[in-house]
Amino acid sequence: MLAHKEGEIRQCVEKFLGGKENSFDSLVRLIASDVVNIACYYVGNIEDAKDIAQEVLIKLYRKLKGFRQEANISTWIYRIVINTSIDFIRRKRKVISFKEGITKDRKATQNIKDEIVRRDKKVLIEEALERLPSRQKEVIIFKHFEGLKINEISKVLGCSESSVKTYLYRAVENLKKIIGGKNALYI
Amino acid sequence: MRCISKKEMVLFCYGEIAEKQKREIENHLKECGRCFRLYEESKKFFSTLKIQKKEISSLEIEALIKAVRARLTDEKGENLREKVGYFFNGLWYGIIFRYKVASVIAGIIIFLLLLPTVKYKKTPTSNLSMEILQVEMELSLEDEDISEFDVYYNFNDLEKYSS
Repeated sequence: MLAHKEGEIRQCVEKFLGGKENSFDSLVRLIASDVVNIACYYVGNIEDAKDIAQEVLIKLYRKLKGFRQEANISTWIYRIVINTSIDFIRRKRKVISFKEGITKDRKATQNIKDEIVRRDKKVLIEEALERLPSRQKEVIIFKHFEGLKINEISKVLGCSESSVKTYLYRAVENLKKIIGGKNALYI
Repeated sequence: MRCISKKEMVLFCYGEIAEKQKREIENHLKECGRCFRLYEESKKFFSTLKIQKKEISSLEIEALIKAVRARLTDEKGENLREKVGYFFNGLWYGIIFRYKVASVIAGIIIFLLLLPTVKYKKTPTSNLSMEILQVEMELSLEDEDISEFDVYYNFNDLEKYSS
Protein backbone atom coordinates (compact mmCIF):
# COMPACT_ATOMS: atom_id res chain seq x y z
CA MET A 1 0.00 0.00 0.00
CA LEU A 2 1.41 3.30 -1.12
CA ALA A 3 0.20 5.23 1.91
CA HIS A 4 2.33 3.05 4.21
CA LYS A 5 5.45 3.73 2.15
CA GLU A 6 5.24 7.53 2.34
CA GLY A 7 8.60 7.89 4.11
CA GLU A 8 10.53 5.66 1.73
CA ILE A 9 8.93 7.24 -1.32
CA ARG A 10 9.82 10.69 -0.04
CA GLN A 11 13.46 9.63 0.46
CA CYS A 12 13.73 8.33 -3.10
CA VAL A 13 12.15 11.50 -4.47
CA GLU A 14 14.52 13.76 -2.50
CA LYS A 15 17.55 11.83 -3.80
CA PHE A 16 16.20 12.00 -7.34
CA LEU A 17 15.64 15.74 -7.08
CA GLY A 18 19.14 16.03 -5.63
CA GLY A 19 20.52 14.71 -8.93
CA LYS A 20 20.75 10.94 -8.39
CA GLU A 21 19.11 9.65 -11.53
CA ASN A 22 19.11 6.00 -10.41
CA SER A 23 16.92 6.93 -7.43
CA PHE A 24 14.04 7.00 -9.88
CA ASP A 25 14.63 3.29 -10.57
CA SER A 26 14.50 2.65 -6.79
CA LEU A 27 11.24 4.58 -6.63
CA VAL A 28 9.79 2.45 -9.43
CA ARG A 29 10.77 -0.75 -7.62
CA LEU A 30 9.07 0.56 -4.50
CA ILE A 31 5.73 1.55 -6.03
CA ALA A 32 5.33 -0.52 -9.22
CA SER A 33 3.33 -3.29 -7.60
CA ASP A 34 0.89 -0.89 -5.91
CA VAL A 35 0.43 1.16 -9.07
CA VAL A 36 -0.34 -1.95 -11.13
CA ASN A 37 -2.83 -3.18 -8.51
CA ILE A 38 -4.70 0.11 -8.33
CA ALA A 39 -4.84 0.31 -12.13
CA CYS A 40 -6.11 -3.26 -12.14
CA TYR A 41 -9.06 -2.22 -9.95
CA TYR A 42 -10.09 0.10 -12.77
CA VAL A 43 -9.34 -1.89 -15.88
CA GLY A 44 -9.74 -5.44 -14.56
CA ASN A 45 -6.79 -7.08 -16.28
CA ILE A 46 -3.09 -7.15 -15.53
CA GLU A 47 -1.82 -6.39 -19.04
CA ASP A 48 -3.70 -3.12 -19.38
CA ALA A 49 -2.74 -2.32 -15.79
CA LYS A 50 0.96 -2.66 -16.72
CA ASP A 51 0.47 -0.31 -19.69
CA ILE A 52 -1.17 2.20 -17.38
CA ALA A 53 1.67 1.76 -14.86
CA GLN A 54 4.16 2.67 -17.60
CA GLU A 55 2.24 5.85 -18.43
CA VAL A 56 2.01 6.72 -14.73
CA LEU A 57 5.76 6.29 -14.18
CA ILE A 58 6.60 8.44 -17.20
CA LYS A 59 4.25 11.17 -15.92
CA LEU A 60 5.87 10.90 -12.49
CA TYR A 61 9.34 11.35 -13.98
CA ARG A 62 8.25 14.49 -15.83
CA LYS A 63 6.25 16.00 -12.99
CA LEU A 64 8.45 15.21 -9.98
CA LYS A 65 10.46 18.37 -10.42
CA GLY A 66 7.31 20.45 -10.09
CA PHE A 67 5.98 18.55 -7.07
CA ARG A 68 5.27 20.64 -3.96
CA GLN A 69 7.28 18.97 -1.19
CA GLU A 70 4.81 19.78 1.58
CA ALA A 71 2.03 17.71 -0.03
CA ASN A 72 1.51 13.99 0.50
CA ILE A 73 3.41 12.12 -2.23
CA SER A 74 1.32 8.96 -2.05
CA THR A 75 -1.91 10.95 -2.43
CA TRP A 76 -0.44 12.66 -5.47
CA ILE A 77 0.62 9.33 -7.00
CA TYR A 78 -2.87 7.90 -6.38
CA ARG A 79 -4.39 10.82 -8.27
CA ILE A 80 -2.07 10.26 -11.23
CA VAL A 81 -2.96 6.56 -11.30
CA ILE A 82 -6.70 7.28 -11.15
CA ASN A 83 -6.60 9.94 -13.86
CA THR A 84 -4.41 7.80 -16.12
CA SER A 85 -6.68 4.77 -15.61
CA ILE A 86 -9.79 6.78 -16.42
CA ASP A 87 -8.12 8.25 -19.53
CA PHE A 88 -7.09 4.75 -20.57
CA ILE A 89 -10.65 3.46 -20.21
CA ARG A 90 -12.06 6.40 -22.18
CA ARG A 91 -9.52 5.79 -24.94
CA LYS A 92 -10.38 2.13 -25.13
CA ARG A 93 -14.11 3.06 -25.06
CA LYS A 94 -15.27 -0.11 -23.55
CA VAL A 95 -16.09 -1.37 -20.11
CA ILE A 96 -13.58 -3.95 -19.09
CA SER A 97 -14.84 -5.98 -16.26
CA PHE A 98 -13.27 -8.14 -13.69
CA LYS A 99 -15.17 -10.97 -15.33
CA GLU A 100 -12.82 -11.14 -18.32
CA GLY A 101 -10.07 -12.88 -16.45
CA ILE A 102 -12.44 -15.14 -14.63
CA THR A 103 -15.24 -16.26 -16.88
CA LYS A 104 -13.50 -17.02 -20.14
CA ASP A 105 -15.36 -20.20 -20.84
CA ARG A 106 -18.44 -19.64 -18.75
CA LYS A 107 -21.65 -17.90 -19.72
CA ALA A 108 -22.31 -14.75 -17.78
CA THR A 109 -25.49 -15.06 -15.82
CA GLN A 110 -27.75 -12.27 -14.68
CA ASN A 111 -28.62 -13.85 -11.40
CA ILE A 112 -25.55 -13.77 -9.23
CA LYS A 113 -27.20 -15.93 -6.59
CA ASP A 114 -27.26 -18.86 -9.06
CA GLU A 115 -23.51 -18.62 -9.30
CA ILE A 116 -22.90 -18.82 -5.55
CA VAL A 117 -22.67 -22.61 -5.65
CA ARG A 118 -20.15 -22.68 -8.47
CA ARG A 119 -18.00 -19.66 -7.68
CA ASP A 120 -15.63 -19.12 -4.83
CA LYS A 121 -15.91 -16.16 -2.51
CA LYS A 122 -13.00 -14.25 -4.05
CA VAL A 123 -14.59 -14.18 -7.49
CA LEU A 124 -17.92 -13.17 -5.95
CA ILE A 125 -16.33 -10.20 -4.19
CA GLU A 126 -14.65 -9.04 -7.38
CA GLU A 127 -17.90 -9.28 -9.30
CA ALA A 128 -19.76 -7.49 -6.53
CA LEU A 129 -17.19 -4.68 -6.58
CA GLU A 130 -17.65 -4.35 -10.30
CA ARG A 131 -21.41 -3.88 -9.84
CA LEU A 132 -20.95 -0.92 -7.51
CA PRO A 133 -21.29 2.64 -8.81
CA SER A 134 -17.83 3.99 -9.68
CA ARG A 135 -17.48 6.37 -6.73
CA GLN A 136 -18.55 3.74 -4.19
CA LYS A 137 -16.15 1.28 -5.78
CA GLU A 138 -13.28 3.77 -5.57
CA VAL A 139 -13.99 4.62 -1.93
CA ILE A 140 -14.25 0.99 -0.79
CA ILE A 141 -11.07 0.10 -2.71
CA PHE A 142 -9.03 2.93 -1.20
CA LYS A 143 -10.50 2.48 2.28
CA HIS A 144 -10.68 -1.28 2.60
CA PHE A 145 -7.98 -2.56 0.25
CA GLU A 146 -5.47 0.29 0.27
CA GLY A 147 -5.99 1.34 3.90
CA LEU A 148 -6.24 5.08 3.31
CA LYS A 149 -7.87 7.39 5.84
CA ILE A 150 -11.10 9.20 5.00
CA ASN A 151 -9.30 12.57 4.76
CA GLU A 152 -6.71 11.06 2.39
CA ILE A 153 -9.41 9.53 0.21
CA SER A 154 -11.18 12.89 0.04
CA LYS A 155 -7.94 14.47 -1.28
CA VAL A 156 -7.34 11.66 -3.77
CA LEU A 157 -10.88 11.75 -5.16
CA GLY A 158 -11.35 15.48 -4.82
CA CYS A 159 -14.53 15.35 -2.73
CA SER A 160 -15.52 16.22 0.84
CA GLU A 161 -14.96 13.91 3.81
CA SER A 162 -18.69 13.66 4.48
CA SER A 163 -19.22 12.54 0.87
CA VAL A 164 -16.53 9.88 1.29
CA LYS A 165 -18.23 8.62 4.48
CA THR A 166 -21.56 8.43 2.68
CA TYR A 167 -20.05 6.60 -0.31
CA LEU A 168 -18.31 4.19 2.06
CA TYR A 169 -21.50 3.37 3.95
CA ARG A 170 -23.48 2.88 0.73
CA ALA A 171 -20.74 0.71 -0.77
CA VAL A 172 -20.71 -1.57 2.27
CA GLU A 173 -24.51 -1.87 2.28
CA ASN A 174 -24.59 -2.64 -1.45
CA LEU A 175 -21.83 -5.22 -1.13
CA LYS A 176 -23.73 -6.90 1.71
CA LYS A 177 -26.83 -7.06 -0.47
CA ILE A 178 -24.99 -8.35 -3.56
CA ILE A 179 -22.76 -10.89 -1.84
CA GLY A 180 -25.15 -11.91 0.93
CA GLY A 181 -28.50 -11.93 -0.81
CA LYS A 182 -31.80 -11.68 1.08
CA ASN A 183 -30.90 -14.30 3.63
CA ALA A 184 -27.50 -12.97 4.40
CA LEU A 185 -26.52 -12.82 8.00
CA TYR A 186 -24.98 -9.40 7.51
CA ILE A 187 -28.14 -7.61 6.46
CA MET B 1 -27.00 6.55 24.30
CA ARG B 2 -29.40 5.70 21.50
CA CYS B 3 -28.70 2.63 19.34
CA ILE B 4 -25.92 2.88 16.76
CA SER B 5 -26.93 3.58 13.15
CA LYS B 6 -25.58 1.38 10.33
CA LYS B 7 -23.49 4.27 9.00
CA GLU B 8 -21.94 4.90 12.43
CA MET B 9 -21.24 1.16 12.73
CA VAL B 10 -19.35 1.11 9.41
CA LEU B 11 -17.25 4.13 10.42
CA PHE B 12 -16.67 2.65 13.90
CA CYS B 13 -15.45 -0.66 12.39
CA TYR B 14 -13.03 1.29 10.17
CA GLY B 15 -11.85 3.45 13.07
CA GLU B 16 -13.04 6.60 11.34
CA ILE B 17 -14.93 8.01 14.28
CA ALA B 18 -14.12 10.83 16.73
CA GLU B 19 -12.57 9.77 20.05
CA LYS B 20 -15.51 10.95 22.18
CA GLN B 21 -18.06 9.19 19.95
CA LYS B 22 -15.89 6.04 19.93
CA ARG B 23 -16.01 5.86 23.74
CA GLU B 24 -19.80 6.34 23.74
CA ILE B 25 -20.25 3.52 21.20
CA GLU B 26 -17.96 1.18 23.13
CA ASN B 27 -19.98 1.79 26.27
CA HIS B 28 -23.25 1.24 24.40
CA LEU B 29 -22.04 -2.05 22.90
CA LYS B 30 -21.54 -3.36 26.42
CA GLU B 31 -25.18 -2.63 27.22
CA CYS B 32 -27.09 -3.26 23.97
CA GLY B 33 -27.33 -6.85 22.64
CA ARG B 34 -28.80 -5.83 19.29
CA CYS B 35 -26.02 -3.34 18.53
CA PHE B 36 -23.41 -5.82 19.69
CA ARG B 37 -24.79 -8.43 17.26
CA LEU B 38 -24.69 -5.84 14.46
CA TYR B 39 -21.07 -5.07 15.39
CA GLU B 40 -20.11 -8.77 15.30
CA GLU B 41 -21.78 -9.25 11.90
CA SER B 42 -20.05 -6.21 10.47
CA LYS B 43 -16.66 -7.37 11.70
CA LYS B 44 -17.25 -10.80 10.16
CA PHE B 45 -18.30 -9.26 6.86
CA PHE B 46 -15.23 -7.00 6.67
CA SER B 47 -12.92 -9.90 7.49
CA THR B 48 -14.27 -11.87 4.51
CA LEU B 49 -13.99 -8.89 2.17
CA LYS B 50 -10.68 -9.78 0.59
CA ILE B 51 -9.40 -9.85 -2.95
CA GLN B 52 -6.12 -11.24 -4.11
CA LYS B 53 -3.60 -8.58 -4.99
CA LYS B 54 -1.76 -9.07 -8.25
CA GLU B 55 1.87 -9.93 -7.58
CA ILE B 56 4.43 -8.35 -9.88
CA SER B 57 7.70 -10.26 -10.12
CA SER B 58 11.04 -8.46 -9.91
CA LEU B 59 11.69 -9.41 -13.55
CA GLU B 60 8.49 -7.67 -14.59
CA ILE B 61 9.44 -4.61 -12.56
CA GLU B 62 12.89 -4.47 -14.22
CA ALA B 63 11.20 -4.80 -17.62
CA LEU B 64 8.92 -1.92 -16.66
CA ILE B 65 11.91 0.23 -15.68
CA LYS B 66 13.60 -0.55 -19.02
CA ALA B 67 10.47 0.32 -20.97
CA VAL B 68 10.07 3.61 -19.11
CA ARG B 69 13.74 4.53 -19.65
CA ALA B 70 13.52 3.67 -23.35
CA ARG B 71 10.48 5.90 -23.81
CA LEU B 72 12.09 8.75 -21.90
CA THR B 73 15.24 8.47 -24.08
CA ASP B 74 13.13 8.46 -27.26
CA GLU B 75 11.29 11.51 -26.05
CA LYS B 76 14.57 13.34 -25.35
CA GLY B 77 15.79 12.56 -28.88
CA GLU B 78 12.51 13.67 -30.36
CA ASN B 79 12.59 16.83 -28.29
CA LEU B 80 16.10 17.61 -29.54
CA ARG B 81 15.09 16.97 -33.16
CA GLU B 82 12.04 19.13 -32.62
CA LYS B 83 14.12 21.91 -31.11
CA VAL B 84 16.56 21.83 -34.04
CA GLY B 85 13.66 21.80 -36.46
CA TYR B 86 12.04 24.71 -34.66
CA PHE B 87 15.33 26.60 -34.74
CA PHE B 88 15.75 26.33 -38.48
CA ASN B 89 12.08 26.94 -39.10
CA GLY B 90 12.29 29.96 -36.85
CA LEU B 91 15.38 31.13 -38.72
CA TRP B 92 13.69 30.84 -42.08
CA TYR B 93 10.25 32.12 -41.28
CA GLY B 94 11.12 34.35 -38.40
CA ILE B 95 14.16 36.13 -39.72
CA ILE B 96 14.74 35.65 -43.40
CA PHE B 97 11.12 35.66 -44.48
CA ARG B 98 10.13 38.48 -42.22
CA TYR B 99 13.12 40.64 -42.87
CA LYS B 100 13.36 40.11 -46.63
CA VAL B 101 15.09 43.38 -47.48
CA ALA B 102 17.63 42.99 -44.70
CA SER B 103 18.28 39.42 -45.77
CA VAL B 104 18.91 40.48 -49.37
CA ILE B 105 21.30 43.26 -48.33
CA ALA B 106 23.13 40.90 -45.99
CA GLY B 107 23.45 38.40 -48.82
CA ILE B 108 24.89 40.99 -51.17
CA ILE B 109 27.40 42.17 -48.57
CA ILE B 110 28.56 38.61 -47.91
CA PHE B 111 28.92 38.03 -51.68
CA LEU B 112 30.98 41.18 -52.14
CA LEU B 113 33.26 40.25 -49.26
CA LEU B 114 33.90 36.84 -50.75
CA LEU B 115 34.36 38.10 -54.33
CA PRO B 116 37.97 39.40 -54.14
CA THR B 117 39.31 36.10 -52.89
CA VAL B 118 37.68 34.34 -55.82
CA LYS B 119 39.10 36.85 -58.41
CA TYR B 120 42.75 36.63 -57.30
CA LYS B 121 42.79 32.90 -57.47
CA LYS B 122 41.87 32.85 -61.17
CA THR B 123 44.37 35.51 -62.47
CA PRO B 124 47.61 33.96 -63.99
CA THR B 125 50.91 35.24 -62.60
CA SER B 126 53.67 36.93 -64.65
CA ASN B 127 56.08 34.18 -63.67
CA LEU B 128 53.99 31.70 -65.60
CA SER B 129 54.22 33.80 -68.77
CA MET B 130 57.99 33.96 -68.38
CA GLU B 131 58.26 30.22 -68.12
CA ILE B 132 56.21 29.71 -71.25
CA LEU B 133 58.43 32.08 -73.19
CA GLN B 134 61.63 30.48 -71.96
CA VAL B 135 60.48 27.01 -73.03
CA GLU B 136 59.54 28.34 -76.42
CA MET B 137 62.95 29.89 -76.77
CA GLU B 138 64.75 26.67 -75.99
CA LEU B 139 62.62 24.80 -78.42
CA SER B 140 63.29 27.28 -81.17
CA LEU B 141 67.11 27.60 -80.77
CA GLU B 142 67.76 26.02 -84.08
CA ASP B 143 64.83 27.64 -85.63
CA GLU B 144 65.55 30.66 -87.71
CA ASP B 145 62.18 32.08 -87.04
CA ILE B 146 61.99 34.84 -84.51
CA SER B 147 60.46 33.73 -81.27
CA GLU B 148 58.45 35.93 -79.05
CA PHE B 149 61.18 35.61 -76.42
CA ASP B 150 63.73 37.14 -78.82
CA VAL B 151 61.36 39.91 -79.62
CA TYR B 152 60.53 40.51 -75.99
CA TYR B 153 64.02 40.47 -74.49
CA ASN B 154 66.23 41.37 -77.42
CA PHE B 155 64.42 44.43 -78.52
CA ASN B 156 67.84 46.12 -79.07
CA ASP B 157 68.59 43.70 -81.85
CA LEU B 158 65.33 44.33 -83.58
CA GLU B 159 67.11 46.03 -86.41
CA LYS B 160 68.96 42.80 -87.18
CA TYR B 161 65.68 41.18 -87.84
CA SER B 162 63.91 44.00 -89.45
CA SER B 163 65.22 43.22 -92.90
